Amino acid sequence: MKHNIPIKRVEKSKVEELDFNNIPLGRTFTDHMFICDYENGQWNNPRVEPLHLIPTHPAAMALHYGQAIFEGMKATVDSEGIPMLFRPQKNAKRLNLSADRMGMPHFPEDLFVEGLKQLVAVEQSWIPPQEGSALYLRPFMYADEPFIGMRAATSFKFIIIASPSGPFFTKRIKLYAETKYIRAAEGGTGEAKAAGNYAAAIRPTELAKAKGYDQVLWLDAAEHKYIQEVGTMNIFFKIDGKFITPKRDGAILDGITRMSVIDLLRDKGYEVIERPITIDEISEASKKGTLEESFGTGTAVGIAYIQEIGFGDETIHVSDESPVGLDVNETLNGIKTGKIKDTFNWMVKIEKELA
Amino acid sequence: MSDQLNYNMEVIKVEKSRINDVDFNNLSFGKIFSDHMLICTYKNGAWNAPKIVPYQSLTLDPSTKIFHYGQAIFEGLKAYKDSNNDVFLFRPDENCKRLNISAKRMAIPELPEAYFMDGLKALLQVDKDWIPTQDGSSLYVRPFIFASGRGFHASPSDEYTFIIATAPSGPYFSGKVTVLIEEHYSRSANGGVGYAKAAGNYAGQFYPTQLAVEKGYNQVIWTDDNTHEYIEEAGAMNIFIRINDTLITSPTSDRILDGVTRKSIIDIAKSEGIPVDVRKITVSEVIEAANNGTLKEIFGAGTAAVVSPISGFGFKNKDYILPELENPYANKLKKRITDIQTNKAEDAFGWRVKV
Ligand SMILES: Cc1ncc(COP(=O)(O)O)c(C=O)c1O
Ligand SMILES: Cc1ncc(COP(=O)(O)O)c(C=O)c1O
Repeated sequence: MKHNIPIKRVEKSKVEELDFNNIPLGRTFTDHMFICDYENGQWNNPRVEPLHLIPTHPAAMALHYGQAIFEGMKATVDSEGIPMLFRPQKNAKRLNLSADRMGMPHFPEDLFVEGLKQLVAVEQSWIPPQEGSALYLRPFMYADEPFIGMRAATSFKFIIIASPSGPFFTKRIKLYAETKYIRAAEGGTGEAKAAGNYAAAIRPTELAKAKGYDQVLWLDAAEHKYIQEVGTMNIFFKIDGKFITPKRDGAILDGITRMSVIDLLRDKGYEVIERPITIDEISEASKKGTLEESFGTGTAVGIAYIQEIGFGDETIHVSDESPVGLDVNETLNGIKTGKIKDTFNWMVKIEKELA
Repeated sequence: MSDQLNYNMEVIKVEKSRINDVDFNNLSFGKIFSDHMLICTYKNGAWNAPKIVPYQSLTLDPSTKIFHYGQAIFEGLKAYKDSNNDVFLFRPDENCKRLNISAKRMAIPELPEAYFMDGLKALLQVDKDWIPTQDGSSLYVRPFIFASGRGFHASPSDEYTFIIATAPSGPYFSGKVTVLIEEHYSRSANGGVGYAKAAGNYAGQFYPTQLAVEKGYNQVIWTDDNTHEYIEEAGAMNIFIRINDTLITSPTSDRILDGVTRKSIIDIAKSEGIPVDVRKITVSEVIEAANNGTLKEIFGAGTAAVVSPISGFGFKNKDYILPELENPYANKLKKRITDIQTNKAEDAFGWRVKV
């Protein structure tokens, strides 16, 4: 279905003010936004408009009950300057999975992708061309009905905003395996990109940072034994030449980078096994010398190489180098910038003329 | 925390009150808001003095953190007016304390007690006429704090906003309340945020509650995330179970909200000579009591619903009906607590606060 998405443009773009070699982290936003309203059981009036403040009733349910979900993805350009999206249908699907769990309406998948394309086409001058840089896109949906009773809202907004992001420098990171706080329990909302999951993680993450770690490694809620994921990344381990990653159990996020990395690793000839992994097993592999490397995967950073994991009084040394992680990262970035052939058909090109 | 403020705060009044548009004899819950609100912002590391302003829309940038990461907490209490036109609150200091307990877990800066207490009292004086006097009605008071800073990082916000909104409200439930004992979904887990009135806890319940409503129940009774064996609480009420003559309620924990109504009911029941047992209680114990006739009552206790008798519950596709007693504890306890709240009875516990 072709959607009619009217575009109202800013009079003057702010893009000239941006120093592409020095992009502040997650603080700069482009000129426009995509917005659509849900009322009376349907999505109405999808449009691209100048980025503006949103009048919000103080009783808007998102402010009280956190009925909000989001997605995160990136637009890149190839060597000819053609903007591209990475597997946007996957984000559209995951948004609706989150919507189901949070009692929110589905957003039509084709409109999600089309809205993204339209916005990116309008904002293409904002896409940083450097490898590893991208235009970060943030689709989100929240309850704006003014009501302070306990039930799912009946009116929502769906918005996409965009923020140019520079290359992340690839410092090796230290994780703190958390045995007190948890991110998500079985039967909870961990598989959804639900706003409240992230709020709950802030304090434990700050505490881990105060101890000198970069991120929390989340363990399962029941036994604090099984590895779930890291901050906003899924995790992979290479032990004895084979890759393992925690099996999806309803509490971890189904990362799109994760599923892509599984495909890439297999394509490169590695065996990848999805199964429950205990922190003890990782500790033992490290001691035996069979733990070869480990990395996190996520849209924001791509691949993050893990140096060590703090677990109780123990420091689990992972590795000082991550050759496979580096190789996978290069392949991913190459595909995203059109330098490596996209044999998986992941990239969705945006017609420049769309705008 | 500092205790400096008094009632002399900045007050900007509405030009014309909306009160004549309100039918106080037909109030629903949480849909109509009084003329004014209290607002206070946290910037540059400190809470600014609160102000009273006309109830109005906020204007929020789409990158405001609340929409993305759900970093928000709230409270709920009620204001009552007696036949002399005197205004009362019920244990507001407990709500203030709990707000700051929630704040800590959610990495939100603690609010000075005086801002909460004096702000609330000043607001109630300004909107005194909005406090209903009809039986079962009251002014529902909703203090809340949300992350109003901007940015795409699930890290502490640099700005927060504290608001108190008030809503003249009728009874929360009408008619008989039936509940479904949950066996699949979970509300919270140890190490999580269940004991905090964190926004995301509530959105997480909407979908499981919707499923229960579709099956013909009003509410879910949550069980522990790990085994689904132990009765925890309902969506916005703590749960009391009467077996023979003893009243049983779960101890509070990481997972269960420390309800003000709950602890007040425990004290009132004890003063009435009712045996109260604060202990863990399993679903199987409740089913067994239902089967052998020793299960006499189940009721919920919470600010919104006060004391809310449950007429039946479902578990594993089977429905159980509670007996209809002549003089249930629920009625007696409800009358005792509302008489104290509305200044119709002596307040032996010193809970009532005159504004
Ligand atoms: C909790 C969590 N885990 C993992 C990921 C990685 O998912 P993706 O690869 O789709 O970005 C994210 C999202 O960024 C996340 O929020
Ligand atoms: C989860 C939950 N349990 C119990 C209660 C009851 O607490 P209170 O009696 O303080 O209103 C509430 C609050 O309304 C709640 O949100």
